[in-house]
Amino acid sequence: MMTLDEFVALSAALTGYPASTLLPARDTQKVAAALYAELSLPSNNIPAAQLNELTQVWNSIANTPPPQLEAAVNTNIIQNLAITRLAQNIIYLWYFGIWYDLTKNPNSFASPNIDHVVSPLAYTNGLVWGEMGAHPMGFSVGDFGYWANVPTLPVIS
Amino acid sequence: MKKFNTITVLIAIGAVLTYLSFASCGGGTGGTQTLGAGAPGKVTTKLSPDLPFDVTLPPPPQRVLETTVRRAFDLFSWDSFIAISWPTDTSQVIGQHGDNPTLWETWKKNYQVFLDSGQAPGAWDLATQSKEVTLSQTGKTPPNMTAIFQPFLTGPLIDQNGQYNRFEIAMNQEMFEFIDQHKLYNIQGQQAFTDTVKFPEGDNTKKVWGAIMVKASWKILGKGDDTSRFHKIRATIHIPALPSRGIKDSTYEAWVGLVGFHIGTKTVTSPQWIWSTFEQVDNVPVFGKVEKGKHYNYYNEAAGDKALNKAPAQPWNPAIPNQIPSQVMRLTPIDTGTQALNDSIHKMLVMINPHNVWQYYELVGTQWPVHPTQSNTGDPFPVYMANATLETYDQGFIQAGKIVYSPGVTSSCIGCHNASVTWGGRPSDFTYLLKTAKAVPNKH
Repeated sequence: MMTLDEFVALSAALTGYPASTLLPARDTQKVAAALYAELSLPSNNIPAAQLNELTQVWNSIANTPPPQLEAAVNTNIIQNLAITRLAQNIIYLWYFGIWYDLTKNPNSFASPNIDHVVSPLAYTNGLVWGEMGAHPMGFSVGDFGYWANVPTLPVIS
Repeated sequence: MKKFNTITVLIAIGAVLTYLSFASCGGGTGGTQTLGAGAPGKVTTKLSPDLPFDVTLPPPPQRVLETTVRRAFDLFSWDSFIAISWPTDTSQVIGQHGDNPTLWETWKKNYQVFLDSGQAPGAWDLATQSKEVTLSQTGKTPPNMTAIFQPFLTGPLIDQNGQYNRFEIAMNQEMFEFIDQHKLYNIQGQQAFTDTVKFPEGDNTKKVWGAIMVKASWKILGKGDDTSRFHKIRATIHIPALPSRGIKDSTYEAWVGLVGFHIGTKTVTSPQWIWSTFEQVDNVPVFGKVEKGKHYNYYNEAAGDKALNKAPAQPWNPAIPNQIPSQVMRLTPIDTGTQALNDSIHKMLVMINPHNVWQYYELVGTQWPVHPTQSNTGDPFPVYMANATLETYDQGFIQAGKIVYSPGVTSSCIGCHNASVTWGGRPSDFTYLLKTAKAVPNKH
């Protein structure tokens, strides 16, 4: 079984966001814990062999120096058909707060294959909103009149 | 704030050490009492009229969000509550005679600042502004004095005797003077104000207080209420007219008991304010944990849970018999650390006087911005917080026996107040009070 620390480190490599952003020291939203719990949710039907292989592969490349890490992830995980779908599901988890059904149309991430939204906070904390310089529908932390301003886009460090 | 009596108490984290000492500058009670044995990581608090300027956090290595940091903010809340509930006669100690008139009740009420005429309010004068209490507001937000709804038009709160809850808002001198000096007390003044509204901030280094606003929730004391368990006042109850139901505008005198209390404090560490909320201990049961035979202010076990946390029939007419009033449960239990602190402070209050009414008030929680510069809302924690008498119907939803919270819908002090604006269309620094201002009538 993948540990929470392994999950966050792998997620950082997959999403491009630092682990300290995904799991802050003072974690008010508890999003990482909620997303991590998806890996052990029985109804998600994640094959144990697939999860174990992803864990093993990640641990084998986790200490790769940062300049080479992206290529290592691409070669060993994204291009690895045995685990790429699960890895992509983790990316979707972070960006949209959504879990896709692994058993349906394995090569499609079309909306009918969405199984569930992890939680309201997972949704509002989805990375996609910051990437767009936007906010989720129905929820914003902007002050009054922010909609009149040009959106600002984050710079991923 | 002049200090005549001080009860200093050191509370150790984990409720291991409690040390109580009495000191007096005015010839009052003296003595020292030790209640427990020592432990590392102790945090100091005191029952005193000394109002804290800002939160005092533990050293960085000891800061854990859910425990030590929360404890520091909860201590700030209790210190603030004790200080502003201190007797106006500061030669006395809080609850020394059971109940006492409080400091905050001498503060300016919202209707004394935002006058119907739009004229400038009178100067800060404790003697005159505390003489009368008129409770006509029956909703938390005061768009006008006949409002009967809590935030977002969710509904009024009706107690087990079928009476509307009443609400009151007041502010300290620092907040009032900012409004007064910048002429924000009427619509024209706010529209002319082109600067950023930024209320004074409490600062431990400078030893200055910031803006503080309080919201009190009162119930009319009546059948079934143990009046010895409430801070109570004699108030004028205003019944606004409701012509469609034949109700005329009227007033009458009644005793009312304090059931809920918000304190919002602007500080340097928390520019999104620190939000402290207290309740009377008999208000409501925690979801799924009803105490058999207990009298609750806003829950009746015999009425069932069909209308649980749902607004009652509207417009509610107290004169109609056999209606089901508000049936309320607390959806989020009080944090165990917060409850331990409540228990410790209750013991201190009982030591002053076994009949001390303030022992019947508990801190429900404190919300503060964890990362104040991260966004406008500063990443508030806890994410959600509600007072059962002030955000009754915004606590969350119950679906299939489970509690569901929704960002932007479930009550969050900072999240909601971030949307507050002035009549000039500018952010109003986390207070909706400015929007209650009236216009100065056009002379033409």
